[in-house]
This record gives sequence, C-alpha cells and structure tokens, in this order.
Amino acid sequence: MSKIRTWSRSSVSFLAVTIALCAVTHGQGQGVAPETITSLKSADWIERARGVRTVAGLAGSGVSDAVLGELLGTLERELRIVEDSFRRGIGVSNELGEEYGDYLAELQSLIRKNGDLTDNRVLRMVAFGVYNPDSPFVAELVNRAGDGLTPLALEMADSDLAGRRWNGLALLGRLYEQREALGISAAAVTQIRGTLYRAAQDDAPPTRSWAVIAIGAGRSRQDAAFLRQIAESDPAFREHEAKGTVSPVREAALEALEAIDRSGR
Amino acid sequence: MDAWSDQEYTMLHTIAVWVDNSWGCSHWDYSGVLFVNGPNSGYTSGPGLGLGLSLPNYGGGNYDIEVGFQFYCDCVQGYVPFGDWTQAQLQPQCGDERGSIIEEYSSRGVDLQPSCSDFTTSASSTYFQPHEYNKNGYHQWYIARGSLLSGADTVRSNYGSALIVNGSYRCPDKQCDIRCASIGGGRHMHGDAMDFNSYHDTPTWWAIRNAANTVSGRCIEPLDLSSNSHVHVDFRPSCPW
Repeated sequence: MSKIRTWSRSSVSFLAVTIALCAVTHGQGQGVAPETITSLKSADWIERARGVRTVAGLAGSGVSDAVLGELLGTLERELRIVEDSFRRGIGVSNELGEEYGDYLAELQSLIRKNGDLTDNRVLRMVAFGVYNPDSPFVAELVNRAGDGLTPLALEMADSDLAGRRWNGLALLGRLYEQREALGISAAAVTQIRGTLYRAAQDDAPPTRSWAVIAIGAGRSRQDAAFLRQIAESDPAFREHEAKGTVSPVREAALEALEAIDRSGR
Repeated sequence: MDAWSDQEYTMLHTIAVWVDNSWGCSHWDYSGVLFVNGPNSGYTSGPGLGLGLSLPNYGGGNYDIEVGFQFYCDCVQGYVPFGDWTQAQLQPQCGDERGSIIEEYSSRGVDLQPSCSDFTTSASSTYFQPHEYNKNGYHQWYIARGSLLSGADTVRSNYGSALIVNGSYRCPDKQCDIRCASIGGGRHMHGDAMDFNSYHDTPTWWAIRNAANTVSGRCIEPLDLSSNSHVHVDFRPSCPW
C-alpha cells in the first residue's frame, strides 16, 4: 500500500487554533474583529468590501451601534466616490468595475436591515444611496420612514445628479400616493406637488417622465388637467421601427391619466 | 457573503465526480467529505470540528499529495496547503479550449464553476450574433445563457432601433485584463449580462433602460454607477437595485 500524506499535524493544529480564535472573537459583541474595522477604513475598496462581507457574515443577530457607525462612514465614502466618478462623466462601474456595484449593494443592504431610520444620518445615507427609481426599495423606504422622508426627497429632487434626482421624484411620488395614510400635512402636499410640477417641465425628458409618473401615483383629479396638457404637448419623441414616432413623456402622462380615471378619486 | 463554503464544496464535489468519471484517473478514489467546521455554525455541514479527507491510492507507487484550498473564517482568511493538486488538475477536461477557460474560473477565484456544456461557439439570437455575445473574446468558446439570449432580443425589440453592444461575455482572463483587482463576481463572466452603448447621452440611456425594464428577470445597473456611457442589463437570480 502506498504512502499517502494528507496534511501535516502542524496544519491541523494551526486550523484548530484559528477556529478557536474565531470562536472567541465571535463571542464578543457582534464578533467584529478590530481588523475588520481597519478593513472598512482601508484606502482600497477591495479591502473595504472584504470588511463589509465579514460584517455581513456575522450580522444575523444584528449589528452594534459602533459597527453600524463604521458602516455608515464607509457608505458615506462610497457615495462620494460614486458621485465624484459620475460628475467626471466616467461612472464607477467603468472606473472600478461592475463588482464595485455589487459591493455597494451589499453595504446598503446591511445598513437598511440594521439601521434605525429615525436617525437622520441613517435615513439620509439610505435615501441618498444607489438604486433605481422604480425599485421596490422606494416603497419600502417610504413605508418605513414615513413623512420624515419628505424634506430629504425634496432635496434629492433638486439634485444636480440625475440618478439622485430621479430617485427623489420617485420618493415624492410614493409620499404623494400615501399622503393620507401617512398624514402628510396639506402644506407639505402642496410643496410636493409644486416640486413635481416643476420637474415635469424640466429640460431633460427622463426627469419629466419620472415627475409625470410621480404625479400619476397621487391618483388625484386635481392633477388631471396638468397631465393632459403634458400628454398633448411634451416635445420629446424618438423613432421606433415598428411604432413610428413615439413620445415617451406623453405616453407616461396618458398612463397617469388612465390610472387617475381608474382610481375614481 | 458565505465566501468559503460554496467554493470549497464545489471544488471537492468536482474532485469526486471528475476523478471518478471523467478523468479516468484510476489511481485515485475519493471517499468521505472534507469538512471545515467550526463553532461558528452556518457555514458548513458535517460532523464535528476538523478536517477529514480520505484519498486512497489504488494505483501503487508513492505520491505526495498536496491539496490546497482556501478557507474563510469569521476573523481570518487563510490558505492551508496540504496538498499538491493544482486547480488545473481539478478541472473537468472537455477535450478542447474549454478546459483552459474553466481553469481560468478556478485560478482567478470566480464565484462560478462552469461545466463544459455551459459553453458555446455559436449561440445567437434574432438580433444579436455570436460576435456580439462574445465581443472581442479571448476564445472562440463563450457562455450565453438562455435568459440573456431572449432578454437581449426583447430589449432590442422594445427599443425599436439598432443597439450597439459594448460587451457581453468575458472570460476571467479578459475580465482580469480590464480590471483584475475586483475579479470574483461579475455577471459578464456568468454569461448573462450585456452592455448596450448609450453614447454618453442620458435620454438615450433612459430610452434603452426603459426598453429593458419590461423584460422579465432583468437587472439594470442604475445610472449612478454606469453613467450614461452604457446600459448594463443582466439576468442574475436576485437584483439588488
């Protein structure tokens, strides 16, 4: 029978010690080792991602306030990187790789799950994060944060960053839709409606379109005349090989009008 | 991320399957399971603490085995060398270039272990040809999942005019040449992603995005990340955006 060497005794000992150390560390708070906190502060995003994944792996029973504070700091840093790259016309997925977005999503998810949205810093970071305007997260955020989100959404709707602006409009649309359930004041509703109306007349067709969708979400007959005007006059169009000339903002306005009609409000 | 267990389990499973069935490597048989199990439960299954791997040698002769594998623990990432089997030896052999592409996935630590049948040299769809699914590919073989083939066509049909593909499948070596530091995930290596050129024009980006947005199972990267240079659409199991 031939000799087979599988692993050395020292390797096994090393592993046993390592696992034992892990157990000890895991028993302390959320088990986040100092090295993980150091990773979160690294200049290298790959290292920061490693730190976030380590925390995520331990976060089943929650994240301590101290660790959450570190995660928020990390997210603030990432959002600055995203903004900076976007303003330079590059985009982080071009600059750092599409995997950066996966890391960012994991970090945001960790904070969304563990953060207290009554804390304004947490709410701001979560709202200002990266997501699509029609993501289920928009409704989830409004449902969780309620009227407290209105000032942030109004601020976002005036952002010079297109993505943030669209997300702000989407949040306003959801707030507008939920205005009664959330007990939003008449003054705040007027402010929301005014912001959406302004955005619906923006120079950029995508902004106009998101604003129109948000107005439609309100299901208010008060908005019908304005939407009808857009449905008849918005100047954006493009050619479609099968449909001919299509006008996406007008189409969005027509859909919004139909939704208002269906709602019977 | 449960970074350690999937990869290790897959690798070991590969040993068991391919050693027995495809390599015809009769020197070796594999029995038992390698367990990496500690007090922090939830990562692996298996009895007790420790490692166990049995590799009976029925071929005669002396062999020094060193099987290297990576493991993660809550507080440590380490490399425990106790073998000499390289990743390349652990790969299935397809009888052509696919074997070396599969090796790229292992050697570069990609979170996917494709099989020979995942690759194609000819997959295309109504609107997109193989050279678009494998744009500037390093190999003639590429992965183009069915969800992408049908999804890309629907995007194109909804958009209503020609779309330029910036990129779709990337083998790990190509992905690494673009940006090696972050390699590990990446839907282009999974063969279910496509980047459509939006010419640094936000209304165009938005129009393509809207065309993609009605496709079932799509995941669209937000504008904040891609900028208006391209619309990235993939068909991952769960979209985070």
